[in-house]
Amino acid sequence: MTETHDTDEVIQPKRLGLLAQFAGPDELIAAAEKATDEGYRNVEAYSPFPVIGIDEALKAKGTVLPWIVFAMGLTGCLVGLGMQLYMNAYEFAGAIWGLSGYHYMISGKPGPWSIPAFIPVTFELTILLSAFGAFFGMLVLNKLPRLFNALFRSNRFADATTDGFFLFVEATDSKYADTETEAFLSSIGATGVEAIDEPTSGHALPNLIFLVGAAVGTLALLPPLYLYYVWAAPTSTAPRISFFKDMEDQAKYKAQNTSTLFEDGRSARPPIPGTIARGSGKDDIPLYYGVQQESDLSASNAATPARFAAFSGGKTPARFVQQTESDGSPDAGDAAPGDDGEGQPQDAQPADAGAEGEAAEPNWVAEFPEALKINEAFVERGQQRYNIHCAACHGLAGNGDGLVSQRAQKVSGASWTPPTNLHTEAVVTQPVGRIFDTITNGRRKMPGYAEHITPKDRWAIILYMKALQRSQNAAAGDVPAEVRREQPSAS
Amino acid sequence: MATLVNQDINETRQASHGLATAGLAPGLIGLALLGVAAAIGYLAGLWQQFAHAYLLAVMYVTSLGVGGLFFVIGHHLTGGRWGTTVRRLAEVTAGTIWVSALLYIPILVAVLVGSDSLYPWAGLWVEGEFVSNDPILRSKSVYLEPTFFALRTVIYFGLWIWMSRTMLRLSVKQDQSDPMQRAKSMQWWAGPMVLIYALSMNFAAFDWMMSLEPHWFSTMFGVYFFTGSFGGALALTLLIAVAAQSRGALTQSVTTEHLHDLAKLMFAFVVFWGYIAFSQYLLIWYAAIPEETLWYDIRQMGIWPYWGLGLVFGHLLIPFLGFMSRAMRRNRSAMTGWAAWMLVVHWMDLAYLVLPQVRVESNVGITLLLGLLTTAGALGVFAWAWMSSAAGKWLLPVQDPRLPLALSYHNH
Amino acid sequence: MGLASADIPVSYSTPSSLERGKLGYVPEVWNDPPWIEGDNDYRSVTDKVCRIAENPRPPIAWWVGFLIAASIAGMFGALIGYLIVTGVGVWGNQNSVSWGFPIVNFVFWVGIGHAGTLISAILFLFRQHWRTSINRFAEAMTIFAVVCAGTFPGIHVGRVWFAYWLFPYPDTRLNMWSQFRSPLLWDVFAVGTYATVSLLFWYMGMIPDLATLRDRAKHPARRIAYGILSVGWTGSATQWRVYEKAYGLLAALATPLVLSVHTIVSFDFAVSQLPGWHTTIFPPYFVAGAVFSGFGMVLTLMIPAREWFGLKDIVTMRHIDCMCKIIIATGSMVGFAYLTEFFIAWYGGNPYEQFTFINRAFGPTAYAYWIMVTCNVISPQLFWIKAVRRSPLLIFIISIFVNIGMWFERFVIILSLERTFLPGSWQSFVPTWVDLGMLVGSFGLFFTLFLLFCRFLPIVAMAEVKQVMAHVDGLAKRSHS
Repeated sequence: MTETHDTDEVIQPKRLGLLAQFAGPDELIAAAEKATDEGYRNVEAYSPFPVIGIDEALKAKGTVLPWIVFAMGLTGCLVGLGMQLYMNAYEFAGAIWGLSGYHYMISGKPGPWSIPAFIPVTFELTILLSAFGAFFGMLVLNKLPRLFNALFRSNRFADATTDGFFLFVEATDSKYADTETEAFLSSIGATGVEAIDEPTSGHALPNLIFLVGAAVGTLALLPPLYLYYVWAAPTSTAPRISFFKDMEDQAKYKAQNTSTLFEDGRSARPPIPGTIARGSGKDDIPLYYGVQQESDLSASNAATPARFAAFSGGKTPARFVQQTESDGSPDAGDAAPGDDGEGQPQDAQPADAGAEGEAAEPNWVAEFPEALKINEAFVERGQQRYNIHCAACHGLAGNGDGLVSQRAQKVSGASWTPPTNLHTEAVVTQPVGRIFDTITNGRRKMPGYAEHITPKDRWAIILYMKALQRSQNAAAGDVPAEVRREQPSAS
Repeated sequence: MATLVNQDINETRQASHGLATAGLAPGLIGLALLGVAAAIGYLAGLWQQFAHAYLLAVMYVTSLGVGGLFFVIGHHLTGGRWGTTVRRLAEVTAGTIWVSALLYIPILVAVLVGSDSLYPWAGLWVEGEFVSNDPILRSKSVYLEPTFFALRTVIYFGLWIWMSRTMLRLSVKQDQSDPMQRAKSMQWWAGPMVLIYALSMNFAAFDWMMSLEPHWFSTMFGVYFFTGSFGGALALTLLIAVAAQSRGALTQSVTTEHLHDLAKLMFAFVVFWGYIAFSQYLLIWYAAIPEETLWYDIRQMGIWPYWGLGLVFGHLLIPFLGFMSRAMRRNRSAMTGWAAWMLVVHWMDLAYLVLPQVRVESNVGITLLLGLLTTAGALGVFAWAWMSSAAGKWLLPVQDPRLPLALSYHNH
Repeated sequence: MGLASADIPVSYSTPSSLERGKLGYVPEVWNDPPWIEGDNDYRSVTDKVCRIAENPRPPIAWWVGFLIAASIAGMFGALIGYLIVTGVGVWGNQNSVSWGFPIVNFVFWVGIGHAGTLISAILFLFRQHWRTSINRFAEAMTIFAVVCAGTFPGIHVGRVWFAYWLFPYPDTRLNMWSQFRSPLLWDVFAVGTYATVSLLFWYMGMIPDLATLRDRAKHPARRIAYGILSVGWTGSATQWRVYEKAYGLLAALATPLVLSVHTIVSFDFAVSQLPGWHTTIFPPYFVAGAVFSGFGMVLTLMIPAREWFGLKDIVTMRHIDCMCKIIIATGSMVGFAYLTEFFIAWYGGNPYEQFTFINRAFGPTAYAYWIMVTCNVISPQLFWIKAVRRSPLLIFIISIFVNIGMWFERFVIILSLERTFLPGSWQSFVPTWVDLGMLVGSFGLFFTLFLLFCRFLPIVAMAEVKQVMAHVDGLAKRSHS
């Protein structure tokens, strides 16, 4: 680290300046003040701790460090906010290397309107970068690290970090002159004055170290290179070695394995007697499917588009693949493009269910299945289920003006297709089986409710719907006499 | 550095006795303004608006008083030095709390007679019976009960008046005799007082402002009120010091160093207020529980969202950037401006807590106007109380043992 | 000139003439005793501090302590290995109490760290000169506590080799980015920033003292090591000027940072909708608790250390007294928050919230609650008595109580998970031996690092102590030479 002059010649070392020691901080301030008053400019003070008042005495300028920190802080703030908006609030189609953002629409706090949630990280990055500014700015402004300094050659100077107070007048100062300056320093109270020369001798690192270092460094590269080579083009047929079992090897039985646990030696167990498989036991075709007979089922089932295609593997982003017309659905009129439940109707035609021409209508049942007991309790059940599951969109009275629809209309305006009004001719005349199918499998934007509502409850809802439809065309005479109130005479 | 200490005294250090008389003018004008506001409220049928505006005004002067009280207690608690030079100003500010108590009496009367013009829960008490079926309100009706409420209010004010009087009395006695012993005694009292202060301040904020929306609750609310109040009191102390200096008082003893320290503390509380306000908002916004969001929901309507943004900028970002720089904090006239700014935004902050709770359809402009009128009125009364309390007193604890240290104090 | 609050060092010139009729005249001047006691000058302070790091044969107590601590730390390492090989099932975490000991330990250790930053930064800004004797010590404590804290979320992710998933990076398989609305991600940034800034702050504060060690070093190896670490510091006025500014700025930055870190840790809980977790006072309450626990830990470490290392003149009873007062203050704040929480739980009228608090205080885990209240709220109140503040033994005992209490505070919060909305999912939490072993093990790691620090680095900020001696105590003593 030290400069070397490998020469035997005695050369006059370059004079760097004079180092004067003082008794204490107050003496140092006084001396510094006198030196600068005398006209010395390249004067530096050294002390074991920051002496208050020394900067004024040396007539030193302030530091720009605060501005560096401020600039870094501002950068951190903008980078932090920008990063989060970019990563969480926007997407850039076609970006490579996974660099597109990802717009999270969660917890009712979509996109850029999550600013409060972005504040903490923005704040942390502001602080982090400011702190870097302060720390590294300090090093740079102080020209550190700089491990060698001519002053370190002075034994006296070793005290500068313990209890020594020094003034150093540089030889570059215009007023500097060896003897005069020395006399001056003594006159202002120096307890000792020492000349500091540029070092003429020192230790250099032997060249061998570099050679050995280079050789070791090169050799150290080989093992990782070999590992990379093996990893990139494996030739072994043995299974990969994994240090951490990343769920590759699990303590479980795979299909058709044998087991010692059971007497018959099979790991897979037969179903317990009397088990009914999921989806089986639906022998009552009208009750469970709303069609006349089993032969109608294929047509009915085909009306339901496969909503979720399989995840496409490989490098394509895993997204829900949209249903297309080419799927050959016989009910293609209903399963229009964009009909995947994401609320983007392609055409804003009024929705009246069943109005469109259907290719192959199954034989829907027109009467309620016989298995059901039609009574008042059943209607009330239907009312309750209807109000829970259907009213949010179709409205409590079935007019298609539920709260969801009202809100959507307010937000999206004309682009919103309102839910079907259940009192339109098309719906009123629909066979109940068809309505059952609609509830079960959904139509257009309406999702299927098979998972939410049991078949019997679906029928109960239809019954209640019928009651609702009836109520819209009711006459006074329909109300039983004993509950009828006296008509006002005016009407 | 040491030169300052050896100076002869050229400054006025004692407030004249005439100050009490001089204070009558703002006091009377203030009362008149309060009367005018009440008259407008009554005649124009804006009684509820007036009630809220009046509460805002009372809260404003109360917050300055209790903020000053905390300055005094905190100063003794930490064995503060630089604060000695402005301590008396804060003591006198704290000493005005009794005026806030008097101003609160009409509200207390309204609550006791069961008026719901301010607190909706007060109107639900009819002849000692709680008449609402709201299960949440029923569950807290024990607490939101007019007599209990009045009792608590009396206790809060009682404690504050006792604390501020004790501190002022000891401090004034210190000017005459036994300065060292009095200093120690004030320091001793500061310990228990800060505990009392924290509890009373917390519950006072719950009672007086949080219960305007009786369904709503936030554990942070007391801290929020305290933070704003202390920030406001610091700004007021700075302004009073500057005002006193412009009349030749304390010109030598309150130096740039002391104003600089007030400014630093003010800056800290700008940031701390932002921290508390943001934390409260973030937690409620994030969890989105209806019984909590309803309070902010009211503040998302009409002008209030803009008012809220105004607070974010006016109470946090602008002052933060404004006096972030040390040079600015040492600039006397600039800091006077910033102190005035902070007092204004502190008012805006309290207005944000109180005024959106008006429960009738009304013009916000009129409500704000009433708020300004009542606040001006209450400030007039406050000014009178301040001046009459200061009259004849030393404006500096001239015998305080820490005074030399405070005077020779330097920021580097 | 300059931005930000780097206003720092300050001086009080002791008034020399206090004549009647002069500006500063008072009949009796308040004289604080000097912070540095005994007949010390700059050199003796240097000697006392450097001796600890220079001593070729550390005291036998150090070896004993180090061996114990290192073996416990070794056990910690072994347990982590066991956890990684086996899976997080070795912990007591279950469906209901899904955050068990790991989060408790994490919050506990982060909290401990806070006192270090508070002493270095906030007290620096408030010019509390007593910080100078203990700040290095406390900052080191911060670093090691953050190391311990960071371990837990690191191993809690289950498959540690995927810990890099915590950071935002472009992922070509999922095309997704980290979710910046999650407080857990805020934690990554907050704790990461905190660890980095604390390290910078600690290291920067040490540079002048490392230069002292360099200049005193006899052995070339030591000289080279300390020479590199001290980056060529000379102590010139120019360097000090920039350094002081940078130190002040770092202090001004660290102050809001320390607030933000525990605030964000509190957000982990408080942004949820769980009763007992979702309450708006959590941020300041967590910060106060963190400072409280941190000061408890500083006292726990400092009282024996000043005894063993002969630092009684530098870390005086007056320093200890100040720390005791901070403990009362923060302990009372924590108590205040408990009270407010309880009141609002009732006032809010939410039956689940009410149940949670009743359950905390009187349910099956009431023991944890009352340990918390006793240790955190009641035991610090003993510090109001002056005699208690004067007795190192009592202070030491109370500081241990504070540590226990603050650990239990986090444990109480976690135990709320035992009984939430749905009684069907109520489950009691039982820690496993691995849980307990890791808790103990983290202390081993902490003390190992700490003892190494005491052995090799300057444990007192000598330059700052000297400045206080010169400018505050007014003892500007002459140097020997």
